[in-house]
Amino acid sequence: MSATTAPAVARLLTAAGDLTAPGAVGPDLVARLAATGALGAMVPAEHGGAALTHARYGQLHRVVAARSASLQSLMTVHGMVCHALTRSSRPELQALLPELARGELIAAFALSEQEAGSDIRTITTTARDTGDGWVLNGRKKWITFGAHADVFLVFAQADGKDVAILLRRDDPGVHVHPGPPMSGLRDAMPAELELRDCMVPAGRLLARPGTALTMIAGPALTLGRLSVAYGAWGVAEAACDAALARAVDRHQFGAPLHRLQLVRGLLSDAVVATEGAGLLCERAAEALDRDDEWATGEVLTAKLAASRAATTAATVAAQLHGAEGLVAGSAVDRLVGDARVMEVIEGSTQLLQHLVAEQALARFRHRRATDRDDEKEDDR
Amino acid sequence: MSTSADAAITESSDDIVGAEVSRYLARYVDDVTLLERERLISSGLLDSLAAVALIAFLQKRFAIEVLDEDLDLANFDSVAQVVAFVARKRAG
Ligand SMILES: Cc1cc2nc3c(=O)[nH]c(=O)nc-3n(C[C@H](O)[C@H](O)[C@H](O)COP(=O)(O)OP(=O)(O)OC[C@H]3O[C@@H](n4cnc5c(N)ncnc54)[C@H](O)[C@@H]3O)c2cc1C
Repeated sequence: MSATTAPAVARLLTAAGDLTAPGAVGPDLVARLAATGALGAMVPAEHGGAALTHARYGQLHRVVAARSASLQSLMTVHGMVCHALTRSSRPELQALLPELARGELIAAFALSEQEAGSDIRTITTTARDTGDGWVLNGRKKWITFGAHADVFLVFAQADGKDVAILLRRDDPGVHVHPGPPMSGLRDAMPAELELRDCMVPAGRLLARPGTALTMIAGPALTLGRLSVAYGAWGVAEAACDAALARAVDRHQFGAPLHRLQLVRGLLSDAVVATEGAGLLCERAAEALDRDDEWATGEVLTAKLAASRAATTAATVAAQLHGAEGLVAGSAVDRLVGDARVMEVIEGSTQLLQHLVAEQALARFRHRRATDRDDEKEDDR
Repeated sequence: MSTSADAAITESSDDIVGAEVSRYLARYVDDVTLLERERLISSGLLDSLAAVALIAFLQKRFAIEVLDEDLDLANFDSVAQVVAFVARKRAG
């Protein structure tokens, strides 16, 4: 097994060739990625994982997303489920972690429904407690890598209490349907999950009923947002490279495009947004690594900035490619679609703006209260 | 007592715990008296990120471990409930 490091993973992906070719992101590539330990990157060592820091974990997402945002999205959802199981303190569920860490089992995250998008409290999938198990009914949508996954972390309502339950693809009553083709994350094998009287044993419940959305989905989403932030950084960097290459290689009016001042304006906007996003990603990961009390806010900030940087940079790259930038499925066209996805998943840009403002207000109130205390202290 | 120190407070009266919790939660509200008047979580005063943060704060500040079975709304829905919870955890 090669090392679980960003350079090792980058080398693997370079050797894999064109990841946008049909079928390139499939079971074979996933298995090779898994062999680097990338799918168990943050799983604790005692459960067979690489136990990376958030900072190193983020770098994996960055290098993978620069080559394939779809493949990176697998790492995101798989990582979120591993994180939830690690925190669950349920031995029966934690026993799956070594297989998940090795990528022998692939995990997907099934929260969204047709009517429950940003407002996750409105999920209607039900779980009925039978005493020795659970019976689930409902339909989950937009499940990244759902078409390929072996296990699903499903969120449901049990008598008005939110629950998180791990399902296996081969559990009775689980039906996986392929989702529609998407214009971003084209290779992420989206699926819908239909649950018809799906019966599972009691031990599949992750946490006390009534706490799933706050205590399971909440922390999983924080990790997911860090993953998306780093992934968006990688997409933004790939877009900057595409824009710079085009500006150098394409000649119009007797000179390379970069000689045009307005083109330089576009290039600088893309580069500044991308580099700023990168710094915010690193700051957020370091805050998580030292368990800083404001870490969640840093992650929200990084996700918001990086997904927008990806959009800025991808739009610039596409614009500088002119007609070629509009060829459906071309490299820059894919980057535009991937960046759009990053502004929607794990909290849309507008939801993130709401949460970032909330955190900024909390920090402000805290700072003001602390300053007042210090003044009182000084007066004494 | 220095309130800005990060060291965990392992022994203190309920009053001190209550003051610490209120001081912590004050960051989420414009009017601190709401913390005494309203249910913290069931009223929506704290959103779910804030609820997760509160639990992380309690664990660190009072050196307690909040387990899955502790995650009952009745332990966290008012400052008084939180104080009683911390006292119970410390009594072990
Ligand atoms: C490619 C892809 C992969 C996905 N993978 C998964 C997955 O693996 N698992 C899963 O469970 N889900 C997944 N999703 C679903 C994703 O989580 C939702 O799309 C997302 O939560 C937004 O929900 P929605 O699409 O229903 O948009 P809506 O909630 O309908 O929001 C639409 C728009 O309304 C605005 N808006 C919404 N809420 C607010 C607010 N509070 N404040 C201000 N404006 C607001 C925003 O502009 C937002 O973009 C995926 C989606 C995509 C596109």
